[in-house]
Amino acid sequence: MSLELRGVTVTVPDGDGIRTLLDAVDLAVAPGEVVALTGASGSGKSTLLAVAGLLRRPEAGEVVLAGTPTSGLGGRARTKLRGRTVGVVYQSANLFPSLTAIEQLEVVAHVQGRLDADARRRARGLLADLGLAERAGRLPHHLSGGERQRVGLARALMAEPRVLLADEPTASLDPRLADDVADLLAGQARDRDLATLVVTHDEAPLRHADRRIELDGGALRAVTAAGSTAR
Amino acid sequence: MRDLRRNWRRFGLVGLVVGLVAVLSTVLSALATGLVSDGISGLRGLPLTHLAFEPGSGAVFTRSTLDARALEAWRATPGVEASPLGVAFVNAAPTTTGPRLDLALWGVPADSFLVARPEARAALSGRPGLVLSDELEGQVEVGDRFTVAGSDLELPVLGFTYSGSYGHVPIAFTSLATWQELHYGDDARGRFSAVALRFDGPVDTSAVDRAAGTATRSKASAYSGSPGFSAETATMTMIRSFLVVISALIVGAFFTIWTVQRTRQIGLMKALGASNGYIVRDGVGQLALVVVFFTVVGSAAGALLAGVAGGGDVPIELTLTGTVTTGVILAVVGVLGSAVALRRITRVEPIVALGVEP
Repeated sequence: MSLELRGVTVTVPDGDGIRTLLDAVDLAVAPGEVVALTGASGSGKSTLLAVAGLLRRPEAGEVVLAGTPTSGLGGRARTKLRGRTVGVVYQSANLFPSLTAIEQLEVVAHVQGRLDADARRRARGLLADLGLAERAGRLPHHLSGGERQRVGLARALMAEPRVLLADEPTASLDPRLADDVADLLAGQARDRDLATLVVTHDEAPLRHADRRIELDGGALRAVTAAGSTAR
Repeated sequence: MRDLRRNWRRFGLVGLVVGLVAVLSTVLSALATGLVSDGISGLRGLPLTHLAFEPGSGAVFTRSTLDARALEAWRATPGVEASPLGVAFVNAAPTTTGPRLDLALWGVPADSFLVARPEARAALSGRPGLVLSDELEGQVEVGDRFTVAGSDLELPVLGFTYSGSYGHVPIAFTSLATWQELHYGDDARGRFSAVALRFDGPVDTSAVDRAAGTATRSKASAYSGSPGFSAETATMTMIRSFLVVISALIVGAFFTIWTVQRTRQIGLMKALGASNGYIVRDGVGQLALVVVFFTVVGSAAGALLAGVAGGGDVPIELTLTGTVTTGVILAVVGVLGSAVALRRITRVEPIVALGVEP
């Protein structure tokens, strides 16, 4: 498995007590598999995504990324592993406002100290693969919503990750664009053999997922086949 | 760097403020140097290493009176050259036409080690007269006669010596005998203000002071005896220090606000795998470029302004060392000012990239 969560528990202080956001969650996502994660607001979806992407530590349990258990890793090692293993597609793309489309990708290589001719070539190739070759020099505010989200996907793929996480990637798009982006995301994930977890409220990512899991009150309550709404 | 290029207006604003501080600091630095020169350049130019004053005079020449006993005790000390020195502030009125002169009048014997040049020795050993600071050349000429206020003594201008002033008035030399006659009249009794000393090596000044009845100061520490010198230098130092602190605070405040505004971007950088060091280097590096660039531009503009303003009565003295030192201090302290935001950067959690509060 490229992504594995074993008994992951996350709690936060809540007044005088403690609130459980994730309750002993077990989850495994295989390479090339696209899993859609649904649930009501406040059910813990974003928290699960953050834990899976090493963006926060769980209070208990283990996250295994690309075969590496992470609970014993220090801050620097987690940062390094995150940078090289995880790609994240954010809601509304979350692009750097002062960087052009191509620079959004180059910054990933720069952060990892690998911004060379090969990296620049790969960045251009990724933009071309996602139909953005003509938009490489545009700043985010000169791109459409769909283009921004595709740049966000290209940036997530730039580090050649093993795990792809997406947080409501189609939330700000109209249905047609949402379907295009969801199709693109799932296609790239399968082509690149990425274990992919997509948090979504929308139908489009569900249609393109291999399976769907649902969080309810911090626990995985239901697992269904993709596209199904049955519990 | 791309932030800098695409947000040049925002960086330009803080740069403008840093530049203006650099202008002011450079001008004040030149003014401080000028004030120091105006206050003590006459004393600084004398080839002495120490001065022996009357105890309790606080290195103020006009409060100090010594006599032959002190002089002989110092002259008897091995490795020491000693010369009597009289100092008084006088006003000299021309006997015909010309400007009235405020002078710091130094009385020295013609054979003193303080009088190095043969023509100066010749001038002081001949008829009584004045050897003036050469900054007065052009206003007065050799042969012009002046009456020193409070006496009936008419003194001709014998020549000019190095450019110097003391207590913000030009220096003038005369023989010690003439100085004593002007200062004490017929009752000089060999008195003078201080003993000028030149040490060849280490001297136990305490022991000689006890024997001579003097209080010895190094040349540099005797500068404080110049009228207003301590207050002026303290004031200028305080103003310049405030400017440096203000510059650091401006940069620090800007960097803090910039950091707060970029919190989600910083989180995103961390989510992409950037270390704290990478983000700090990126932010501080951009800010350092702005601070250094505008400090250089501001210092150059300040030097230009000081050069223009220095032509009049304002005692401005522009030096390359002073200008560069001021600029370097401003730039370094300005960049250090950004350190106030470093903790804020390191505390940003990558999870904020998801729009989730940590």
